Amino acid sequence: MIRAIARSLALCAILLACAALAAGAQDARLSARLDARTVTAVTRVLDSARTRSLPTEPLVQKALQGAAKRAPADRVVAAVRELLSELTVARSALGARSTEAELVAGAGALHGGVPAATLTRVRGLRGRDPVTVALGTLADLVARGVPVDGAVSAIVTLASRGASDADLVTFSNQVGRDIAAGAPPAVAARVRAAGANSGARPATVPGRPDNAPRGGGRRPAGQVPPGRP
Amino acid sequence: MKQSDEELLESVAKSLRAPVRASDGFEARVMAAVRTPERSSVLAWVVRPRVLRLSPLAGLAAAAGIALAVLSLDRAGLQREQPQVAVAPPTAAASVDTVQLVQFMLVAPNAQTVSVVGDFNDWDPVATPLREAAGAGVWTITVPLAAGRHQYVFMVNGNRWTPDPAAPLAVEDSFGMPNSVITVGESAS
Repeated sequence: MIRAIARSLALCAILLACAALAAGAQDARLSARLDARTVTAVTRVLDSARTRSLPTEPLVQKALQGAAKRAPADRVVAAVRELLSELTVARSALGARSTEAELVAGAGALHGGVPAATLTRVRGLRGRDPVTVALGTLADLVARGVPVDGAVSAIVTLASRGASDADLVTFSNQVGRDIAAGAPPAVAARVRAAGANSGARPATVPGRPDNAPRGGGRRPAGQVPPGRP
Repeated sequence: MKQSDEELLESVAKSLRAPVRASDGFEARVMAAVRTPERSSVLAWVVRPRVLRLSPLAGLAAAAGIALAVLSLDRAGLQREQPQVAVAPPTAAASVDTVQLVQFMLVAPNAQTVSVVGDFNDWDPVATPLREAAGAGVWTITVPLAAGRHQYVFMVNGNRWTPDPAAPLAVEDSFGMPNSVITVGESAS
């Protein structure tokens, strides 16, 4: 009886090992577009992500982006590793139940210099609502030249007032238009956040001739659209 | 008659009892073969046939193991086949998968071809070509995007990377060519 159980356990172990090997197999998309050495290195990073229960698809996409842009192999691997680190920190800051979309948005914010503690704070302020758009807006503000402190302050303020995803999208678009019209990024973010908080009409931002929206129109909630050039 | 049969049997038995003389060196070859070591103890153990007896309980355990392995393989395959679909956490009520139609547009009057390349099409430069509206130089396409923050860039004439002039740039610039970014919300709020 004991021998039979031992045999069964050994059989299960072999089968599970086979399953693990299959799960760790190389992604065909990578093999088709990267050299073998790079695929091996990226696959190791993917395996590391799996062991941490992190999503692997963003890492695959990072590698494919590098392949599309004909980046050197070392740079591709370094970019994938860096993203894995950011996803790890983002998951730690946002919680184990975070969605892949939230982790990617959080990683983007971290990449822009946003502290991990801010991600945790935004998560707390948003309650059970997703934080994808809030963190995406935060990263967008930083990318537009708003200092990290100012961007964090604006998003935290909006989130603490219960701003919806649509409100955040509107805010982001307004700040983007203000900056394009010549407003200093920090001022644009501060003034627009204040206007959104007060519930009043958007404030006039210094450096901008008028506040009339240009082009575009209403967009679906929760979506930052690629606008009209 | 009976006597002759007995004589015949005796003569046959006598010939069978006689020692057989093998060819010279036969004994030496046999002993050499016997003394030859086995190929490999591991290999011999693997190829040696044996009878495997399983009790019903052990059989059930083996079946459960096989089922578990098959399920693991199946899940791994599904994850690769549906890479773009975000998985909602089982208990996060506010996190609902959302796919929205997003229109990409680029004004490029002199372009021969324009495509959008991003993390929603595996960064494939030929997967998502834009169509020019009535030769006016306005190129558009509508693409369903899953919830999340997506990076993309336009490819003009198959060789020129062009960020969307109307969208924010991604703060990440891992490869020295800036991407545009679009965020699709997870909630309907």
